[in-house]
Amino acid sequence: MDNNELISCQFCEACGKYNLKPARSCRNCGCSRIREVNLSGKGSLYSFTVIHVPPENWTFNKPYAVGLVSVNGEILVTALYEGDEFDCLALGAGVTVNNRNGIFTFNLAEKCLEH
Amino acid sequence: MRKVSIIGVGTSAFGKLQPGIIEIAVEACEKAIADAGIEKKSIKTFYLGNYAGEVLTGQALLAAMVARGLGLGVIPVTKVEGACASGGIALRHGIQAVATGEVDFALVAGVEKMTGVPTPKVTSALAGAVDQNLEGKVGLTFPGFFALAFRRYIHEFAVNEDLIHQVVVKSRGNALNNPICYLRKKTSLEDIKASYPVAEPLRQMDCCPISDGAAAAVICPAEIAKNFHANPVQILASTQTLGYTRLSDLSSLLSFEATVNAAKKAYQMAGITPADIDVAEIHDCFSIAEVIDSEDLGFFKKGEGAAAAAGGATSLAGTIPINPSGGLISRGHPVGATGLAQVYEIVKQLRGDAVNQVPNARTGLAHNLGGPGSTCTVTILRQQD
Repeated sequence: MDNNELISCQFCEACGKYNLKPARSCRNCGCSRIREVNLSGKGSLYSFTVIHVPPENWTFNKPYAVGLVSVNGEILVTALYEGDEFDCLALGAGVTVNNRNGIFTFNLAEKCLEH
Repeated sequence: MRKVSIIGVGTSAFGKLQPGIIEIAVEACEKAIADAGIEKKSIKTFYLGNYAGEVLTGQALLAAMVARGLGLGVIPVTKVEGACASGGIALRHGIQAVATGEVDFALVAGVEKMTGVPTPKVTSALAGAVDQNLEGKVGLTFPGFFALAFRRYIHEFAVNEDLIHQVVVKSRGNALNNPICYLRKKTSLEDIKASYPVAEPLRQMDCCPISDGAAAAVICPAEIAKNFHANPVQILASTQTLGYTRLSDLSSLLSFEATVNAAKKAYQMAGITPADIDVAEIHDCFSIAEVIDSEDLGFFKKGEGAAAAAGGATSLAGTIPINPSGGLISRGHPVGATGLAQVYEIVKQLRGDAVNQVPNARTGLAHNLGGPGSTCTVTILRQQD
């Protein structure tokens, strides 16, 4: 598995919550008994939006899409869509989340048939 | 803890204002103090809600700046911040100061100055309320967050997108009568859908306008309130909760737990149910927010808020008039001021003195929500007998 596709989390042994880094304690129950777990980036698109009004110093595409990906059914990860085929984005679509130097991005798992 | 009442309220106009941030707040405070008929030297504590004063105007130390502008005495002055709930948080602290007996008269206010700043800069300032380690790094803006909720909501409840946009029509209609509002123009569903896309499916008219403004209130013990105002408004409940700050904290985008918890505790404290609320000002920063909030506050079942609104339930003549003022969506959302602008409207309603008066309004609710459901205040108010 490509290291790029690993989502490094802190799993809480007390309550079972997956916490994205940075996390010193469990964000759900406050417990400090958390251990590092790597999840693969495979998931499905829980929601997305195409943003036309970016923040300052935005150098990527405009408009651009941000998705909320349900990774492994365990955790929701906010990620930037690497592609520009916005018409292909649909809730429930299979996606792969990448970790690009601490920035989460995603691509569709299957080639879009619309194009 | 003793019962407390609001004896004075005041507000600036909302929109593109000429004066600076300190002066706008001073104006609202002076109006509230005059409405209360008290002397400034009676005020023994001051809480000011503000979100982005330093970022957008360069002016920090705002509570002290405003207090000195008013000529208040040697008293504790405190700025509070909880993103869009800053005003509601300021109010709750003033309520606590009087309820606990620390002071007899508290002044609370909220202010923001946001106009005249380039859009990318305001967008970044508002996006500061999302976690900069995660959401911030991938360019999720504040409307972007609510757009994610919008798309998930219509998917899970099989609701037509138009029904969400439509709540704005009701609020903009209310605004036609309210001179405080920034946007006072009859707005149709077609107008909304044709407006510029901000973060799809949110169009520009689904979003509260960037605005300047301030609002303020004076609080005292209920026992002496009638010495100062003929129609004091009593606080039946004032709650404040922590919600989630990261999307990865969430199990659902359809409900804000901070609201659900604040409301539940407030109804319990007041000894009432949602059905007892005659009028409500709730946090409609975006069209979808009003829908979700109305359900989280217990006015409608989850998933039914949009249809209920489309059927007229939230109009002035409806079973639960929501945002008779025009809401954030018409008044504008000078972030720190909003919580107190909502209370201004509820106080006017319960005094029988509102521009869009709900007949026989006796019990009102104000709901203020900050960040991606991160901070929340719910205040329940009643005409004092």
